[in-house]
Amino acid sequence: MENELNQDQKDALREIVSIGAGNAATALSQMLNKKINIEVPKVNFSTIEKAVELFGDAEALVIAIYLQLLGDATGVILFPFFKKDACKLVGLLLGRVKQTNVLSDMEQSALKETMTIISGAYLSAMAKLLKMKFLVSSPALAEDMAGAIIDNILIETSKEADHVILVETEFTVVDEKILANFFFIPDMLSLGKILNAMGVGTNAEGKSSN
Amino acid sequence: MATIRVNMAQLAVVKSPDNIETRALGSCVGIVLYENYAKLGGLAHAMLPDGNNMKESLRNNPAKFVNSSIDMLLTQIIKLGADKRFIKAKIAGGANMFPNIIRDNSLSIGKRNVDAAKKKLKELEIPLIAEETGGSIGRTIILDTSTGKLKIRSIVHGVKEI
Repeated sequence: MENELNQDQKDALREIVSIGAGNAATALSQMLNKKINIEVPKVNFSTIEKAVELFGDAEALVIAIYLQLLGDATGVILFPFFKKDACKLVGLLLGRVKQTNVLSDMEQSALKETMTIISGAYLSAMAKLLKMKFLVSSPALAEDMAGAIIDNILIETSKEADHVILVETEFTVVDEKILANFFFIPDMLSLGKILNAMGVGTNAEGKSSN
Repeated sequence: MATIRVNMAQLAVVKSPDNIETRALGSCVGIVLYENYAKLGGLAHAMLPDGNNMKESLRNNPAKFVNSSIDMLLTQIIKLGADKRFIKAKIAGGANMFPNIIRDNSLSIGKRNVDAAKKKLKELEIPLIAEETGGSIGRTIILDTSTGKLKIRSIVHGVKEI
């Protein structure tokens, strides 16, 4: 893809992601029995080189859950948490207040599984509307500098494109002030498919940046 | 004295007392060239081993690839006044941040970046005098051009020098 998305395409993407996010928020709300707020998704279009800046401080410590998107579209789903948010969320999931800020194996596992469920809810709502089939890989967790975690994803994208689309949705567990970000990063080819399925794909599908 | 920051898929060369850094290398590899007499240093933050099998339009930035970034770094540092005979190299990064997804280390992009850098340096007869690569940790690197020491900052190991 050569050009930035046009307004219709951005709106369409925001729309479909909002629906997915709504479903995901409902799932999370039921799991935690807490009120969840979601923000309007942001559609960020960036060169590969500048994409790290969208995640804020490259050296900030994050706990990230990473899932590969498979099926009719491929890409990545990423939840980068600040440590305090990850710890609070784990505390809620396991029904106890965390005393330390180190996640045990079981706590890591709880976080990974929860995010897999959330991703499933998010994707199934989108898939239904798009009449596409989405699958996710098993989850992986990394705790390190945000920039180092993201560069892996950007490297993969850079083989096919010089730009990347990051669709970001912010969740808040209202009473607990837990902040979570959901990043949906489709491959450029898959993005074209998604836009086509929504009838706004004119300059997206298949066109390379020649 | 300034510290020049090199971002992903960029490179730069500096003269002492200016230093040069790049932040949060994951699978990317940071390649440092240093010339001890002229006190000149260069740093590249490369993403992929080379641009083979990639579309022409995605190959226009030499700093993106290990091979072409080392060539360019060498040209630029010599242009700045370095003597090729005294140039030495250090590399850092090339981690595999999600080892449980990519189990086979030989396939990890980080490992391939490191291998490509070593091969290229050998071809150009630039001695690789130190490295801090692999594992699954992110690294920030800062070259001190007055000494040639490379400071490596990570969350797990704190600060160390090579």
